[in-house]
Amino acid sequence: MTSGGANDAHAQLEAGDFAGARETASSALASAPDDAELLRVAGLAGLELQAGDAVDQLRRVAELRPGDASAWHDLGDALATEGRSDEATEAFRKALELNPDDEVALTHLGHTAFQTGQGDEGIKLLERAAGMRQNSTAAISLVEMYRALGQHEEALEAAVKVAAADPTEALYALDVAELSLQVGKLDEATAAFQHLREIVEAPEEEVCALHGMVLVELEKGDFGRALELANDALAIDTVGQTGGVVAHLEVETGADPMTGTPRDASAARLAAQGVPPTRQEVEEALRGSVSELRRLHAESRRPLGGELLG
Amino acid sequence: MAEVAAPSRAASAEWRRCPSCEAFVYYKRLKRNLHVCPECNHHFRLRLRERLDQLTDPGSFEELSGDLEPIDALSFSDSKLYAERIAAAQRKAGAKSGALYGKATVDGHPVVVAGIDFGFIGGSMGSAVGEAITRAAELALDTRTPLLVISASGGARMQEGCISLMQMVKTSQAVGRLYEEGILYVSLLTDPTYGGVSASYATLGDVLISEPEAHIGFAGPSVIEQTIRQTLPSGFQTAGFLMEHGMLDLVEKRENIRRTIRNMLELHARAEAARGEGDSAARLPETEGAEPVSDPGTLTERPAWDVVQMARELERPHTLDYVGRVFDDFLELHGDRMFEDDSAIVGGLARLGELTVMLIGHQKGSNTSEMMERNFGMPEPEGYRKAMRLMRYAAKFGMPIVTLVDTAGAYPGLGAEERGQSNAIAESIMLMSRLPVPTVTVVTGEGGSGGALALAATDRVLMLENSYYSVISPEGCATILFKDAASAPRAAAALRITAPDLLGLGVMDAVIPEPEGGAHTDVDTAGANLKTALVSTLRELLGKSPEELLEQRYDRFRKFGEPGRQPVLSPIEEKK
Repeated sequence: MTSGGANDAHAQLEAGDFAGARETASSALASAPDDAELLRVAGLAGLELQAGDAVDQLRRVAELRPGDASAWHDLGDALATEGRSDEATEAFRKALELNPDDEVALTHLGHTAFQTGQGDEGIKLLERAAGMRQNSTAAISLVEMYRALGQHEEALEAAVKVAAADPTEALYALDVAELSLQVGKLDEATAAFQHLREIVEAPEEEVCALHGMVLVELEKGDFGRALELANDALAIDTVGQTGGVVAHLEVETGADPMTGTPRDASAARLAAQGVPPTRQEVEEALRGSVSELRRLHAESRRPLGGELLG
Repeated sequence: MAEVAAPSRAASAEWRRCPSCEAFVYYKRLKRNLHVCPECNHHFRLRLRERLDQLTDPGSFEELSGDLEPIDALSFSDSKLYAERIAAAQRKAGAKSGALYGKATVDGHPVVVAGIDFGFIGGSMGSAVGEAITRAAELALDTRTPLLVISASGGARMQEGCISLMQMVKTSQAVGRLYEEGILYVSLLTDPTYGGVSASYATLGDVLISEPEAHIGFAGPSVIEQTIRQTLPSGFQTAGFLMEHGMLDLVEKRENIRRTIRNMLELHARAEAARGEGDSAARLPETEGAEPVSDPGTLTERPAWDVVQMARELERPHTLDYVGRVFDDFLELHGDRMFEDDSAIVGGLARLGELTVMLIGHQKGSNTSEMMERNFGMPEPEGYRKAMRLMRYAAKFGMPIVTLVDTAGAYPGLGAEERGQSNAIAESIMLMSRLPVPTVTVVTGEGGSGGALALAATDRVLMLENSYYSVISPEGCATILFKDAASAPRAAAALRITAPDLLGLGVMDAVIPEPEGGAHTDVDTAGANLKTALVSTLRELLGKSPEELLEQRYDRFRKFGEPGRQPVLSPIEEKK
């Protein structure tokens, strides 16, 4: 093997110089076309560069080293990156046979099983993967999968673990809050929304967290507390999502607790503005607000990091 | 054989769930797909750095905003101290502020780029954001470099009170100076862009681009719903909604945005280079079509009614049919920025050889559904207002303007009258008559009265051989003057609406030959002839100064009806 070339190419790959790594490996491959190590570096660098033959190179590595779990793992990763899900699944299965602790393979197989309607199998695989490391993508997806299957208690349990591993991530706190509300653990829901309120930066996000807290109080039937929270939200709400909520709650409670306005005076004010929204409309608005907070954090969530292991 | 370390491998490959279709997507695949869901095309929100990576050349971004951070001018506190909110946001984002600016290239074209990160306190515009945008505009001005701004914001930052409000003026006046100096400003409005940002610099770009489903507006939908007590329609405030209402130039899929910006920069780089030349005629291409005719005696006389039928031929080519045959590149721009994108008029940047021009033309449509969509080429006021916007754009950047006229007339409708059809036509005529750049019109089919004239008050007016130009439709004239709609052929002849007569009257400067049988029988040849005519006409005009153009254009139209200068045609011999 041309060890010098492979070492150089590997060093370039590690340094993120994908074009350099690929060029070095490709040059060395001219005299050693079946050098698995060179093919592997060329393939991995090529994958980053979206080279058309990267998958073929990694497939060749797996053919040359059929007993090497990492070769199948790399091939599976490349195929999954290209959206060739069925082939990726096949490669990851082989990787897993050779290395039952391959977390990426487990995670991939778990997701694809779920996507193809094998929800229980998917969850089983992801539970194994999640057990290997805190706050993995498997653990996060598990929350979603349980939720999708209507297993809210299990989803909450998974969400609590994820949130505990990263208490500063709003999305995880939101999962705990929403799921607690869903399963009727209302005090836990309040605590989670309160925590969420503390960790978000923008007032608009804090309004959404407060809306979640109002939802909890509505569920408890404590309209007075709900109104207090709604007024807190109203004070920092620049996008006007809270006015209707307050109006509804003023009618429910019979007075405006902020001003002490008697019910009839408050009702007169409401009459001037129109009919206050119904309970159903209020709950829909509050849920919509919480959903927007989810979208804000879910869509632009940063990668978990540690994607590459040296 | 020496051992080498095993290369890095994916240890924790991530998955994301699409909020739209709920599919789980392998993160690397999502990233490769520019964060667009491969299953349903949902465009995920992007962090600003990711957006910059997608749009600019690798390693080209030189950040200049390192020292910018929000100023707590009010020492503000709500449920938390503003200073604490800033600190938390800075910790989370790993940046001092939610905005940045710097220099970069897009496929080698230099740009000054600035942007807002929605992930930093909701992308709200405070002092640091305003400062980044303003500094970027000032740098673009100093270096005469195009400015690209990427916005994503909930609006003004209330914790900075009126200082935040002032950023709207600060940024707007900065891009206003770019406007005055003819420096391109492209604004990319991403999901979401609202309030004080959308109501200031972000919608002041020469070109406004967005992505499908991005939400853009002034007031949030919940505020509007609570105010008007109505459920808003599906798609309200999405980019598609805004495009339909004339507020955006382009809504592009994420995969196309970089290419669109690059095209824009290329077209403008050519315009900027041409501007620095005294006579940019050398940029025009060689052509092979037949030369236009300016002697009416050499034209074949055809019955006027036959010409009208030919001009109305359904398969006759329209503006967009000529685009690919005459121009080397075309980037359509949309909207009047007031009410609607009227597709009866199309327009955009076009390249003729190495010269960038503004092309504007009527578009009738070539099949039933397209004709319906384009209102049979009959513009409403919004069409003319879009055309005027593009004319001002061209004038600002020193681009010649080419208009292609083919309309039965401006649309006679209730809404058109409510929104000022007369005024739109009048303003367009006046604007065209005073544009400081070379302007050329070609009537390619029907030249229906004021609706046509609104695009034809130019330095040179030409027509295709089988087109017509008239103050009223022959049918209308026959009904009003001859009291008989069946007398339309007679009216057509009497109105002297064909190429030889209009050339004789001085209304036309030249006539472009058509293939035997009409333009629709050989569109390539018709296009080649049109190209030759445009090139020869522009070659003549490009050496003229703005003052010469204005003076000669004034005189061109001043002479009509002036005793002693107005040519008079011989009476026609009526045939029974």
